Amino acid sequence: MTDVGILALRALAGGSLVALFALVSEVVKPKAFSGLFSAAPSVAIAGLAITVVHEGAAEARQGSVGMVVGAIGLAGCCVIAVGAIPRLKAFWGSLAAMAGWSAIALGLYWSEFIGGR
Amino acid sequence: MAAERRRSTQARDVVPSVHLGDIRGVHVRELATRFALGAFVSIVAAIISGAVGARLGGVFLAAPAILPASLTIVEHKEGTRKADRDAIGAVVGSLALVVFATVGESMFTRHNPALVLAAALGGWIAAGLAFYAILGLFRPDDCDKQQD
Repeated sequence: MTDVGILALRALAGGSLVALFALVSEVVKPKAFSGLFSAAPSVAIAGLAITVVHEGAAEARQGSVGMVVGAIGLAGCCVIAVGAIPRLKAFWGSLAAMAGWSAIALGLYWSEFIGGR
Repeated sequence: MAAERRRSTQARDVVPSVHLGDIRGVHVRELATRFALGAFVSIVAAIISGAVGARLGGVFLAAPAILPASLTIVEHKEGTRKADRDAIGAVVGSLALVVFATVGESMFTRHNPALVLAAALGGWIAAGLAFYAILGLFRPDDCDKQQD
């Protein structure tokens, strides 16, 4: 399969799993529990599965290593969103949270894997 | 004041439940938006992985690209309060995502990859339920269906 084909497959698989988990979040209550599925490993499952088949388990492991950092950043991002949404509303609050993710995740990545080495 | 006093003595309803009929309220455009964002994040993670390495690409497997759309949709349909509570749940889910990634990190290259992904997903589910239970214990008002 060509590189474009692999990318298309990743897009299809990732998008489908995100939509599936979104459907699950719509049918569960309370709202705090349904929010759990906003942070479901949908893109990760699709991405890692295709990585394993196309590039091997070692690459998937490296992806998981990076994902630990990204997930820590995501937790921080969601904490920011909880505080920002009542003040800034959902759209601007979540954009502020995304900026927080960038700072936390990429800052952690830099300090762990690049800085001082 | 009277409502607060009533709430403090009433049992909160924090146990998760499934309401399949609520699927009827889901618009195709909302699903399509989430599909498109999921596809976009997948492509970005793959391109970064190919250009710079799988480890940095992996960071973007946990990027919050879907979060603005999800919270905006919830706010539009159900109000700011529910969007905020949705974000509280996302904190729980993202902590469980750390467990998912840790399982993958420790098990890929040592076990069958399909088994690893299943174990990682199981870890996310188990951790998510455990963290939600802790949230329900210490912040029951945030999980109370009656206050949704």
